[in-house]
Amino acid sequence: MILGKVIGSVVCTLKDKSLEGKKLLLVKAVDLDDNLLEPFVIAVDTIGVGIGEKVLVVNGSSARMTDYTRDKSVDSVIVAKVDSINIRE
Amino acid sequence: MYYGKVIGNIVSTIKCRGLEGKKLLVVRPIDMETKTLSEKFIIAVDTTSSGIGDFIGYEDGKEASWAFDPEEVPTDATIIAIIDKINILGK
Repeated sequence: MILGKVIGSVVCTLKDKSLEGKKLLLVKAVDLDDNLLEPFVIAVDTIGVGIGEKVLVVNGSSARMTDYTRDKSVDSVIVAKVDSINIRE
Repeated sequence: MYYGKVIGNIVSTIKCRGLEGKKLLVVRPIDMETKTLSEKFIIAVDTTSSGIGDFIGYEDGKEASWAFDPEEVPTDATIIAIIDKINILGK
């Protein structure tokens, strides 16, 4: 999973039938000091997060392992909203 | 399987049903040759009750969710081993 921050949303009226009714959010990867990194994904939101929130994103075929995205054309899904991170290096 | 070290954990109350009750740990991959921690990090679901500071083996990609089969867990990184020792020929 990657640690990311929701920086925007994507609106598509013309899209694959399996994506209908799904919220598409723009998520950029962040490092442990909360700096935005280059990679970004457009992920399906399954838990109702807003812009600016820190989330965990699953990519690849595991992204279809939720009730909401099973057998849908989805390869990136937001699976958790991060409350806090404890790091001890 | 990849080699890494647990450097932290994540607290998350709002998450997918499949992740409920699962521990989310922050892992830095380790280069097997030079034994140096990578700059990058990933978040992995734990199945071995490892803690911060443990050296672990983790799987990524689709196989990561097979560790929970038949339970459906949306994860693309799962810690499946605590590694005690690595022997490399000639080292």
